[in-house]
Amino acid sequence: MLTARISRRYLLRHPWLLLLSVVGVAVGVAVVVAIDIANSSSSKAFSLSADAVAGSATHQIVGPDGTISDSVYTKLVLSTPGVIAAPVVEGYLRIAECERRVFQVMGIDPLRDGEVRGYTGEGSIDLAAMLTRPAIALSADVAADCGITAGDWIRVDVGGVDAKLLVASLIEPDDERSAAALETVVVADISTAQELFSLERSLSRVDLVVPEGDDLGLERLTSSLPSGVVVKRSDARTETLAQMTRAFDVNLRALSLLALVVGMFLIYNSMTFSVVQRRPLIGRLRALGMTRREIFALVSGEAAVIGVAGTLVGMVLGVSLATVLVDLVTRTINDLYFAVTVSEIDIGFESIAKGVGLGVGVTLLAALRPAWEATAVPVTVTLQRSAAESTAHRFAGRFAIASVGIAVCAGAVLYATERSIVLSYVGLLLVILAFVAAAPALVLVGTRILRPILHRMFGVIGTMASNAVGVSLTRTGVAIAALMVAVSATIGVGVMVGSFRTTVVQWLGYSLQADIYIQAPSVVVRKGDTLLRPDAVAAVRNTSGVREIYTVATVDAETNLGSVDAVVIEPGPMTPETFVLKEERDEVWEELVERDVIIVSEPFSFRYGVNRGDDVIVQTESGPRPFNVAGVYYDYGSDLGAILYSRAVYERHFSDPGVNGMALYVDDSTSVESVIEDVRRSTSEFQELYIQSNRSLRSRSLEIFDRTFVVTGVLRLLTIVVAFIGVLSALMALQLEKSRELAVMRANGMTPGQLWGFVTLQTAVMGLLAGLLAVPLGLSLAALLVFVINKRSFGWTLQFEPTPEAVGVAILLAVLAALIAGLYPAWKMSQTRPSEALRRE
Amino acid sequence: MQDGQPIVSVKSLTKSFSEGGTTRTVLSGVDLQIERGELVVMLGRSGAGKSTLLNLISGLDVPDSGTVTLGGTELGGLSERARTLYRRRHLGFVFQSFNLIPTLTVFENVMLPLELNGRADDSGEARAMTYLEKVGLADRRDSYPDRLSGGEQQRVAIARALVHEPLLILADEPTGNLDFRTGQAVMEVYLELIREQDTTMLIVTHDMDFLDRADRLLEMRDGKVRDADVVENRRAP
Repeated sequence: MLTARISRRYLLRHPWLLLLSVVGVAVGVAVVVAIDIANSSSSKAFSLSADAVAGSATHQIVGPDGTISDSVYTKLVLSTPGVIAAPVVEGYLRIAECERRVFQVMGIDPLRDGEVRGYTGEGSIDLAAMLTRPAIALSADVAADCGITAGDWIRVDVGGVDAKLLVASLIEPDDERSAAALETVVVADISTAQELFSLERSLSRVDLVVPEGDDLGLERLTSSLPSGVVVKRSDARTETLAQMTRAFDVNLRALSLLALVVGMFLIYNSMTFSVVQRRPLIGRLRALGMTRREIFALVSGEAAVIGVAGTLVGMVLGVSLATVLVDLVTRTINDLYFAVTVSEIDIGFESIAKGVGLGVGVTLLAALRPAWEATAVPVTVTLQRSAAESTAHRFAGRFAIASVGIAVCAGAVLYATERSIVLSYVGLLLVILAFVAAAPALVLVGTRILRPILHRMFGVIGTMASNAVGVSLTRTGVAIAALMVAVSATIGVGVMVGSFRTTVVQWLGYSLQADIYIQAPSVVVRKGDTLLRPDAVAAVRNTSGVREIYTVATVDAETNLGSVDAVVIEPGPMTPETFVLKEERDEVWEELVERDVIIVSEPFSFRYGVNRGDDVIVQTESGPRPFNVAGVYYDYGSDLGAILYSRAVYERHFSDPGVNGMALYVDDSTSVESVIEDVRRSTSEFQELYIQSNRSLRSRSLEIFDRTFVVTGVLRLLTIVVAFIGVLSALMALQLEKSRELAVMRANGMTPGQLWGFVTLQTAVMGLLAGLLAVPLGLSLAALLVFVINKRSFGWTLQFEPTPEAVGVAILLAVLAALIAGLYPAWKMSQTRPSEALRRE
Repeated sequence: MQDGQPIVSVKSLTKSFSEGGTTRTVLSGVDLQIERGELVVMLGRSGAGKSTLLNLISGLDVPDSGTVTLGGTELGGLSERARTLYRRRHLGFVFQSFNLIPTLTVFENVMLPLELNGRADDSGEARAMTYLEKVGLADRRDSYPDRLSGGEQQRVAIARALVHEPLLILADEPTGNLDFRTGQAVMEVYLELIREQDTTMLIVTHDMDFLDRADRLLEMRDGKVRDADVVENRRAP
């Protein structure tokens, strides 16, 4: 087809245009695909491990505080013969020989567990060794990776306590699914696990296999259980855990789409350029009898080629990027939500389909308007581009008016959708669109303001540079808009993170007031759920020079709202200062000790819609009990939320939860360092503990905070890269288009240096305008992220703290990006031989 | 189309353009008929509306009122798409600025009308080559337009305009961008081919040699078409 050849040769004759467009799509697709793969890899790893852990269990018996007495299991087996039940003790350990990787320990009864989990059956493990010695069984593949063989003694770390375990068996699972699941699971006898996790005579749960439809049997079984112990569907737990990361997942995906949105501008820019530049050609083709539909197909076809090529390259880049991002994403999930180890990235069909759909779809969408514009090219073939520019100037006004309408729609969407995160992002996208629509008019106004200033500074070249931006609005407008969106995203996300950080710093300031904090190492940083050994606690209590000691315990609670995190504290004189309530009431702290009341964290209140005065029904050891919510406290440690009991109230309804953390106030006459040293010395024989001064805990907390936003930082950077490519592409397009005009300037005596200066100044004007326009948009985005999206995603009240530095740096970034992008085109333009350019048609 | 019917029949054609709030009437009641095989030259000052008339006759633009009938088909009754398809089959264009497609070779440029008409088979290719031979550019078949001189480019444009044997060829200053000698050579090729094919042609030009060879001279003045004062035009400086 000759028409296809016209397109192909046009693209090949402008390889940089093709290359930049393809790279623009590719980076956008790569970011989306990488985030998708990283997210799906971690959820798949989690679900595989959850499946492996659950086996064929349909239900599980759980206790009120996350543990149940093993007598429950014994009674169950005796009272309901024939029921398939398997006791489980769960926990985490790190294996030194496997580079301290985290493994989930499944403490099971090897004689009974085979009925629930195939890989723990008698054929798989050495029963004698498992039952008689502190032993584990692990996957043969993992053992080979870590250089472990059966019969080896390995070193493990369980919450700061070192232990040695015998590798009794290497499990070789029958199917791939089990093999993948066992990458992160080790199996031990239940008594070994109880010893490892200090759960003497306690179980984490009992797994049950209940035949489908046996409601009667289930009912009978449930009624035989002691109070507070309940039966839940096995998949409910997995769902609860999966839901934890939902907001995190959605936000990450939304940010990844931002790069693609900026990429969309790039495509729009390239396609508009190719259409505008070829208006005479399209006019000729129309004169020769090509229909509008054929012209539309021609331009869309070119976009499809760019889309497909960009998507293919983006897929490859995305998979490589995913291997980096999966580590960052997993680390954040481990810091904030639950333990998961991703041993291999999962490139699912869904990720591929999303990448292809978005890459090709977005490219075609971006090309829609240029393609439509191409069909509207008058066939009179005499129309010059100046006519197109005058149309663009007219449209600038109309777009500005439309931007007001879009802004109103954005407001309506944000106002009408109270909780939806996805629709909040739609609102945010509309705000971006409103600014983009206003951009051409603002660029015209900006160039008018800059013209006299630049004239004073650089003479006629300054005037020309400022005019050139306004006159070539079809090209410069879109490039400025793309850069504006990318820079505003940087301002928006930067100010949001900064505001968040300021809020967290303040929160740490009042919530961390003790001098020393003691915690056992735990796999999930957020939870700090490893118990301190009683002898270690006693040793701390006996340390001299300590004025006050507060303990904290973290437990699981079964409530009418599902399984939730619970915190147990000992309120004291310092408590009102460390837990700041949204509505201050002095009597809360007394009520908390005397009555069955709890206070809940702000994210908990938001997530479950629970406010002061409401009741939360909690499964206690004596059965379900209502606990009145006496207040809501600020907490930025976890977006999952928690309920908070006083130890006195808790121990009225549950057994001793132990101690997970201790806060020490040191006498004024004693040095903090010496107390830390004393505690370390006195506890080292029992448990390796994190003993930190106030300052070091604050800095560690902020370190984790900053780590959480590393992925966001990578996404911001990639978005800037796409915008940079957009500006480069626009400038290259201008260079091609203006080569004749520039040749005339050269012919009239402009030196290559002056020409270089002219082009560089022009790009600086573009960068400056993009940077200036990005400030109001960026601050609007930041406000939306802080007040709407963060609130709806995590329930946090954040302070809005825009810093002049963040704004200044963003403007500088825009000018620099534009200047760097302009270097090559400027050089190329100054090198063009005037005779060559003037000769060309 | 019936025998004896004119190829072009224009009746009471009017066309105005709005410019910054004022309306400028370019054509005000143009009547024109061109018979089969006729070579008609249209004269007129710059801005008189000659190109506008060509655009309306070719269906590139639509009149405010009046009718244009080409080969028995009234263009006003056709949709934009149908007009485009009609143009594709029955019209050939030659422009002052050649308007070749820069990304197609000489041969491909000539093939383009045949391809658009679904006739890009072996006989189509042979036909394109024949026309290239006729304009003396068979040896440049694989060259791109930017490698050709102005005269050569215009000869390719002529081959492209004639290759699908249109009912009518519209030419707008076909030698306007060429020097005298080249223009004369191009015109010779032109006239020889259209006479050979008995093609009808409406040409807007100031080239005296065309005036000498035309069957009829028309002049566009005050928005209307009238027979030109040939002597006056021929003697005009």
